[in-house]
Amino acid sequence: MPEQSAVTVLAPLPAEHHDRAATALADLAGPDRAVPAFDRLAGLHFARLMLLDDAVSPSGTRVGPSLLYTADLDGPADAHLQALADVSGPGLDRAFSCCTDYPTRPDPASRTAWLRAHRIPEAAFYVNTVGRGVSQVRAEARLRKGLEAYLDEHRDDLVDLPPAEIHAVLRRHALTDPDLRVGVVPARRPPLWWRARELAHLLAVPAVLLPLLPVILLALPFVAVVLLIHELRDVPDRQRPDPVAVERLRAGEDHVAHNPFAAVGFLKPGPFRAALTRTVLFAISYAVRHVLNRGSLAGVTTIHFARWVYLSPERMIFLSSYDGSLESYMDDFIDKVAWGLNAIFSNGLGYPRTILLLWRGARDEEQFKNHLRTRQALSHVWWSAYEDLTALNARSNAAIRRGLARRTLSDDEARDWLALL
Amino acid sequence: MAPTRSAAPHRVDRGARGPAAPAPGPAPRSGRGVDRADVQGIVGSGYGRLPEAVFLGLRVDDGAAGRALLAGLLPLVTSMAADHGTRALNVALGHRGLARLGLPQAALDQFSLEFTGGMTTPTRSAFLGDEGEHAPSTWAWGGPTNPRVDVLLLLYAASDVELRTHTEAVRRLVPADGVEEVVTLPTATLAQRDHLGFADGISQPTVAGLHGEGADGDVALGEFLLGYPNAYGTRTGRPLLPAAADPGRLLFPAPDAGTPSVDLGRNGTYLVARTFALDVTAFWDHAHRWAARTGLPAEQVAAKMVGRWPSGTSLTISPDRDDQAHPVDNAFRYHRDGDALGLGCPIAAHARRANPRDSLDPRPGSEASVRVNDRHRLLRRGRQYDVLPCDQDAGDGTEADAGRGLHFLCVNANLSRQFEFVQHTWLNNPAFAGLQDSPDPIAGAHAPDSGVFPLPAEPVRHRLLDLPRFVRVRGGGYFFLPGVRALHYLASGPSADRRTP
Repeated sequence: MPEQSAVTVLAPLPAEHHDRAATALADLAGPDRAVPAFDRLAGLHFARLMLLDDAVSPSGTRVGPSLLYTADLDGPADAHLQALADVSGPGLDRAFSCCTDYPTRPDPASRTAWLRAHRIPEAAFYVNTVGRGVSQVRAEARLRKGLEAYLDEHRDDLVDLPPAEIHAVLRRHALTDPDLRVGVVPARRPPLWWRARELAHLLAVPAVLLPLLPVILLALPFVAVVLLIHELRDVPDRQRPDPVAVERLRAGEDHVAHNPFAAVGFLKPGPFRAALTRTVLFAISYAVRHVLNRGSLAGVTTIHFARWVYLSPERMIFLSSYDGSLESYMDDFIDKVAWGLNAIFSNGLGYPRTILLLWRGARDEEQFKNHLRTRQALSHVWWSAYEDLTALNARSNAAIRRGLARRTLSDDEARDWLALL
Repeated sequence: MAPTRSAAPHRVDRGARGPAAPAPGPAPRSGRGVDRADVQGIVGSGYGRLPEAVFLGLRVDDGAAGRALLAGLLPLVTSMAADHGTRALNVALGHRGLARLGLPQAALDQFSLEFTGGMTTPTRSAFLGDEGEHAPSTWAWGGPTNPRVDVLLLLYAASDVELRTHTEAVRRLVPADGVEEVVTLPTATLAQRDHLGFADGISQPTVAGLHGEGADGDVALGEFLLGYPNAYGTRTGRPLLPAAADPGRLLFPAPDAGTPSVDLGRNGTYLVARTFALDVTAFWDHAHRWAARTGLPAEQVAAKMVGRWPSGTSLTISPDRDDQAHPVDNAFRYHRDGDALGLGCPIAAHARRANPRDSLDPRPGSEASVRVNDRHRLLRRGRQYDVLPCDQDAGDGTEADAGRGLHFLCVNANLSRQFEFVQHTWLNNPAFAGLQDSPDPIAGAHAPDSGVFPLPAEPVRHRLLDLPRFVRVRGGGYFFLPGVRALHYLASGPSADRRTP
């Protein structure tokens, strides 16, 4: 049972190559989908390639276009870079050859070096269920299909048995089928060293912060006043998204069970917002690492992976893979976790007005939705390892396996377990 | 705008056709309650007392003629306040129809993107599941190859004879040039049961200020009427015009605009029209086939797919038998009333996914769950039909089913969060509420014979496989259903002092 890692690679793109890169990505998303061979990269959940358009920062500096590669994967990030440079070489070359310093005669070694040189850190990385790898997700999906098919076929022979006996029959069946045998043993837990490291981090952060608590508490009222003053001066977006741009984004959405989302924006200028953003991201990073790592991001159960990345000290990108439509995603945000959204995204330019960081903001439904659509960036190339599965599906498949892996269940346990099928 | 058009409404001699529409006086500058005389009747009720109906689609080629039509229709338009005669008429307008009628571009752009783009843009068709043999290019009306419907007239009457007279009276108001009736959609006499044999239209939201008196649990008025606070306490975007564009002060002022503005959307809403041909035989064949496989009565299998018993009785309240003796219970909830697993009403059943009540996050069974659910409600106003005369593609008429179906109509203020969300995220979505491969068995879009319908049972569920598609989309469109004052405003047309600055 591997731990999950994120890879983010950012490469500046000379403005004159913008169109060439856009064409290359369009090909990789369309007729040449197979070229990057993402399906041959073991442990890869999601991958995407995007072209970020140029922009002008609030301080007036021009930011050129850039290319972005991101991956959500099992195991160490560097191993993925090496595999990518090898297996997906032709795809990488197509996407990144427009970048100035990309190797002119790329081979796996030079590509790996280039990827390492352009890798940037994630400020926070959310994993729906830490430890559940691609192979596990796929195996458990096969397991469920197999058990469902067996029940379709043999229901009449089973209904008069006690539930615990039905469980036993299904277990015996799984043992005879090589495709399902994986389900009779529990998924492996993460390695001990990894769990120890996580535990150490879980404890170390509060241990370091605890002595500072009096200072933090004393400072809080002053921070609140400064924040309120900043919020009064904020200028929320008023514009509606451009219908043509929305059509272009929609064309890339709702083809499989989940969608890619990406939003790019500048932070509100000034040291206060810069520090606040860092603080909130630190808190998010800690929370998603230790608390919100079992299928729910503060009540939202449809997000597979998400990350926040600094493109520059004043510009950020948020990326996620989520189930269902953007409308339902935004509704989930507003209805279930508006405060959390506000805490981080209200530091971005144009966000609907918040009160003391957590209130209003996303609850201003229409402004919030317009804001997200306006800041949304196209995920030109996007690849998923399990297109038909939602996060809830994967979770319920894992629960089926957990039950099957137990040698015996009581009748009550077996009844609950059978309701999963 | 050509200045000559401003004189157009006078072309219709209203006096000759009975009572003239009293031009409404200046709109009140304040006031919290709903002005029922300004809301079209279809918002308030489905005209259950008027069993006959016909829907007419008109194309407007000339703005002046279109405005003349509206002006002529105004005396006949039924508001909520006047919903008591033996006839009713409501008027809905397509986006391009509004443009034809002379509404300035700046106002047109303020409608929602869904309405502005229309039901048949390719991405929207994919989203709604209107693909393959459901694609707009195959439709009998409302598709890209059909005549454009700019004005949709909904006519209701107490009897067949009355409806004929009513229709003739309305048709006489259609100018000979510049407006053409391009679609006629007759409906079947309103009946207790739908074509499948089930009571329909049972669960409708109670709307604060329309039906309810603002009791707890009522859905916010702004969910169904523009210009009022919605479920989030804000007013949904809608066309606001500079106050100078309304010198006659026909329209209400907009309280939430930065500059003095009037509200063209107030007391209006969006009307969704969808025509579904229904293969009744295939539905019952499927029910019988799986009745034989599961050992359940066919009526029960059918009821499980629909989500209610034929009489309308809830499967959650009465899991084993239809209970015709008692009035239909609509106050139940799935989780609170012990049906979390769907042993009574399956989670995949049509009625349960069209209105999951307390089934979904956050915390199923809680009031919070119901509150989130209520941000996706529709006022359904559809009527059944026996024939679809404009359909060239309905078969040769020999099979029992040829042509039967439903003109689905619904009212909502936010097409994206209400109608489209329900169709996509609840009905079409094969992963609704954690299901797998299970689209709505009646109204869900899926490849033919590909869906699965899980029918929970203890200790082992049934699964109905190879779900056919019983419903075929045959037409549709998004319309704006203006308030009565807004209709007056549109009928009186652009004038020199009304141009947007």
